[in-house]
Amino acid sequence: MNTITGLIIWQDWLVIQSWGGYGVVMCQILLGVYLISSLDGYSHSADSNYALAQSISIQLVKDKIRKNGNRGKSMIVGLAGGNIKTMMNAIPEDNGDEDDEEEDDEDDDFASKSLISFGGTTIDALKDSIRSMFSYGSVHSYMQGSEDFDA
Amino acid sequence: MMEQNVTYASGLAALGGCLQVLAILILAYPEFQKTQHNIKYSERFEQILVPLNILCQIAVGLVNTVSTWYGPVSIVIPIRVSAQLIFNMLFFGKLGIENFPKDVRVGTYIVVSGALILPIVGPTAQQGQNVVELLEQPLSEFWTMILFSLTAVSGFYCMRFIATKSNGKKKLEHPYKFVILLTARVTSAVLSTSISKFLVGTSGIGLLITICAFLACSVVITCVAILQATEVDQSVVSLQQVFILNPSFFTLTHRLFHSSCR
Repeated sequence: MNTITGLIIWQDWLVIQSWGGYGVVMCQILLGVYLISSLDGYSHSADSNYALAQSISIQLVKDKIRKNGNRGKSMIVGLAGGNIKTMMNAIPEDNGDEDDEEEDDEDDDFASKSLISFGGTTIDALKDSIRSMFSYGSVHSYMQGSEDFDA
Repeated sequence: MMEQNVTYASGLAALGGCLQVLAILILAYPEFQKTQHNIKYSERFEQILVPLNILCQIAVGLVNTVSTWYGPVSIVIPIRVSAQLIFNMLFFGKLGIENFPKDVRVGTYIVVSGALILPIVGPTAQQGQNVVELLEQPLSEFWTMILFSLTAVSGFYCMRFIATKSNGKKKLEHPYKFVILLTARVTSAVLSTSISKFLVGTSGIGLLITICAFLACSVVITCVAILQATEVDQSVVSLQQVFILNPSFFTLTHRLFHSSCR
């Protein structure tokens, strides 16, 4: 308001030394004020729980891709939809072969190990904490279709 | 009109900001020592504090008014605000009265660095401006009218709020309470700053009108300060302080309310 008053009433526009610099400084001051204030424009749009689940899932995918090569691709598709079932069961679907079942067991074991690596907690504790995390708030819908969460 | 000098204006603005923080500190530090460290002061010492604060505020008012006489308002105000922020952080932080998180500290440095660059990239001093001629410009008249209208309407609501509160109502319930308070505070502060610049550029009837407008703005500022101190959350007030800055008045009002409650 002061700047506008200066420009309109006091004719500051006649003696501005650098319009670009003046504009940038004004933006800088506004951003500084925003940083100091308690306002957070993204506080309602961002979902920290969802972001955390995504982070965990991404880590699992990375581990899986590192171990199994292209087989991890199916999980990336799951990530795009943000499905908690895919996140928590970060194992690609099998083709029905017996050999694959053995591999799946290995995968399960690997996934568990990957989860254990997060903060040194146990797989059950981590599952519990994530389950409680998803029991509240807007991310509740992500739990839909995750009946075999503990499977 | 005084001879314009941006250095004087900036220096006086910074001094005004520093004095304003000191005015708060006069009341806040003994209170902090009493509550946190159980230090007891004599009654006589405590009685001196409020008049000392008032004296400081008078000095602040004078320095702030004079600072606008020497330079553009669009440089003076940001420098005054940033001086308040940085000195507030330094004094209150060093004395341990308040803890400033990292984002607040960084935000303060950003605002201060921006304000320091303003005299280099912003408007320079304009010598021999004719206030009456400036006000007669159509766009200038339009903007002044907007500012006056907003101040008058929001000021009217503020007075109604105070009347409601004085009737015994503890908490005001109005859907646009915050917007009204913010508008009243910002527009009246902007107007009063420009009006204080008019004080040295007018004479006769013009000066009389300027003084009346200045007093009217002061009334609105006082009303809002009282309402802010009792109605708005401190976190929100801190944002408003960045724009308008009369924290010592908040403290004083708190102090007076506190004293009257005893």
